[in-house]
Amino acid sequence: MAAVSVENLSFTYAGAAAPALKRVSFRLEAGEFGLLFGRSGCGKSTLLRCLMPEIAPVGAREGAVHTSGRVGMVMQDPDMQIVCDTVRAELAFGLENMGLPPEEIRRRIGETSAFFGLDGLAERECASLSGGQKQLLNLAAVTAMQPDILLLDEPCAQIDPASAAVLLAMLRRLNEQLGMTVLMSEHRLEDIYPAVTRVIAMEDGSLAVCAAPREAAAELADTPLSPLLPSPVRIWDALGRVGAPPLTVAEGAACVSAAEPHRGMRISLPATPSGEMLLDARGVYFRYERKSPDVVKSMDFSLRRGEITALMGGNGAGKSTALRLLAGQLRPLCGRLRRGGRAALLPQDIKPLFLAETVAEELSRLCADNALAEEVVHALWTRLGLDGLETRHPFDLSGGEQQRLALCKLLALSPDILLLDEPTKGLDAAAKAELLALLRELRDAGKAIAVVSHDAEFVARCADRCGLFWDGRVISELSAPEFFSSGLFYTTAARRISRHVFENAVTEEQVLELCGREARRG
Amino acid sequence: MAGINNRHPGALLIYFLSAAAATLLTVHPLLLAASLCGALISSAALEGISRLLRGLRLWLPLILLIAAANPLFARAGDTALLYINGRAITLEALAYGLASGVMLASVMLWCALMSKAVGGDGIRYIFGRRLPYTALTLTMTLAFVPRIVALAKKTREAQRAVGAVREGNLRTRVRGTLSVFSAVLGRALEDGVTTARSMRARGYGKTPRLRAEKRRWTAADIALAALSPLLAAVCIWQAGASGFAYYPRITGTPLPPAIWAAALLLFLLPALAELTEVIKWRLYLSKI
Repeated sequence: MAAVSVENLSFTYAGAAAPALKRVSFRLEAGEFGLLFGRSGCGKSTLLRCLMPEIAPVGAREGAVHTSGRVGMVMQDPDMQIVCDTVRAELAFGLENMGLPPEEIRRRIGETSAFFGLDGLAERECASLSGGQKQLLNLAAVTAMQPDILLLDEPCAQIDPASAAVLLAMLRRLNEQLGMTVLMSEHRLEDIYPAVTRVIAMEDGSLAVCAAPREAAAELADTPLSPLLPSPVRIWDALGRVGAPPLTVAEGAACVSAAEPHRGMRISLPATPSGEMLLDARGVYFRYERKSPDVVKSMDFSLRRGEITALMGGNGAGKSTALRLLAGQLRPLCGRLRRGGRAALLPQDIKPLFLAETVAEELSRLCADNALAEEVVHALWTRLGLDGLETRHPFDLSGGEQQRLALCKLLALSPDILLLDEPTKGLDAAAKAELLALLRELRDAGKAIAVVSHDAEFVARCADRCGLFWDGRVISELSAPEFFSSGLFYTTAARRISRHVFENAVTEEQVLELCGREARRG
Repeated sequence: MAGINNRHPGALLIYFLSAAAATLLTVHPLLLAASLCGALISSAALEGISRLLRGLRLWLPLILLIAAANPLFARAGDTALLYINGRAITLEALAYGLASGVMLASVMLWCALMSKAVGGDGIRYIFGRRLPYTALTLTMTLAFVPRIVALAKKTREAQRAVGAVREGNLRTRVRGTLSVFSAVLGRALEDGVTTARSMRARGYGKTPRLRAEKRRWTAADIALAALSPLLAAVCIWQAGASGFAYYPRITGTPLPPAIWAAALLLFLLPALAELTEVIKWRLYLSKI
């Protein structure tokens, strides 16, 4: 029996010219794990919201939607979904709305917190939880209501990979052990793709594919959606599609072996840095309060003109604090920090950078505040591809567009040093590719760039050098191919697939290069 | 924090309201002093000495400010200490100012302690049955305030980086603050849409809400709820009966020792509860 069936669903937002959904039809059987993907703005969120009458978007709708059973939904933003002040109250919120007897509510709260490992947190204030814990709480609060169908709208976009893995493992347990039907939209497919039973791909409001993962991969590999697919599939496609598409790392490795490459081949390393030193930190210490432990201790770090350096590392390791020190927003407790130019920091949360009602107003205020010539900012804005967005509200832009607007504001002040904190958070593959091109262009224009990120795939592509931030300092700073080929955990899917044959290939392009193939243009 | 925090939220609410009322409705300096000491000691017992010291940095200047301001505006009182521009600064006005400052600081401290001890869970518990929506709105608002403060801090820092917030003359600074304010407001409204959606997705407003928690009134809860209004009433009544007045001359009869004991008991209850816990725990450890 179908848990979700959608027939010829079309939807146009009130006041919008073009439809957001165009004749979408698919079925999801009970007990299936469905993965919904597509570029930003392709209608994923609209489709998910249409499946839940309580939060259905307002507009003109045609076609039929049928769901059998109770539906629960987890959204992208971990913070703003939380309604109550404590974990216990948050878990009780939905159950109280259902009008369940107190005895039953307490039982469900107890059961759910034990299942989700939230036991010790019942009395904690929600505001004191980490982003990953908050999202786990959101899932737990919805699960406590015992839905038959769970909808998730990019639940991992705003949390770090370690927390995302915990959340995904929990979703698989709910699906496999409790038989809940799951439909989740997501951008990062590497880990989740092999685990689902059905893949639904969307393009411009229409359904591109609805099939089992392997069939969907074969069908999508030579379409414009291919950059979104996981690395093994893309490598399989570029290597001439031998056998069935590989989904896991092991299958991908077999696929690379089948191409009969020369064992031990290596790509040439980039030249050692030689640009002018623009930022130099030696023995920097920092802590937030007098008696709190050091967040940054004895950190040595330098940035050179024309070079992108990336920092990876665990959650709460102090990477963001280190960036704020480098940017001059925090002052080192001791140690030497020398900047040879103006530094600009793109914070993790970029929304606080926006003040105005429209993009145009945002940029004219920027000119007024800093006595800049309108033409200079206009040229920059065209270069960043913000033309045509002038009348939009900054908050209505897509993640990638918001980021370019934020970068435009920062770059207008012509900094020599650009520091970016988690710039790929919540971006889709296309926006990441644009950011990559932009960062390379800025590097070649002579800027010194530092990127703090959890996104190994992105860092491997963009960084010249890469360091691990651990225990309050930067350790093991190497060239990107060396860094990702020497580690076991901080590495890329392409490296995992090719480690048994190639010495240091860490991106898809490098794997294909060593296999003697040209990468397909995404 | 086990001592008083284990009590029923209803009993806690009654206790803290009694302590605040006994402070607010009395002018007797000794009772006010007892209230301030009790509030400070409770704050130290419940939240730690370091929190208390940080709090004192706020309370002491407040008390001194009110004490100093009152004689400048109040002309009553017989005992002139000195003359400024031909106006007498009287001992009585100074004393009354000091008492007012102590009263204000103590009441604020008791209210802060109350919100800490009763908490969001307690508010929901007390008002949840009769006024479920009011209780939810109240706790959401309380949780909203720290969120906004954190957001404002983040916005300020981000705007400083793009030149909208900067040091300089008053006009530049006011402009910067206004832009931060408008950005925070816009963001809060934007985020509110998500929260509202999350609430609707979890069935808010469809059926009448029921509350999950159920707590029993223990003998200690009943004793606390019955004793504290009684003690407060006795203190207020006796303080009134003592006929204490600041103007025109500080006059009044000393309070009987029984009233002293009542006041100390009332204002030191949280600290006593905490102390009992510590002693109980020591005894427990010594028996292992």
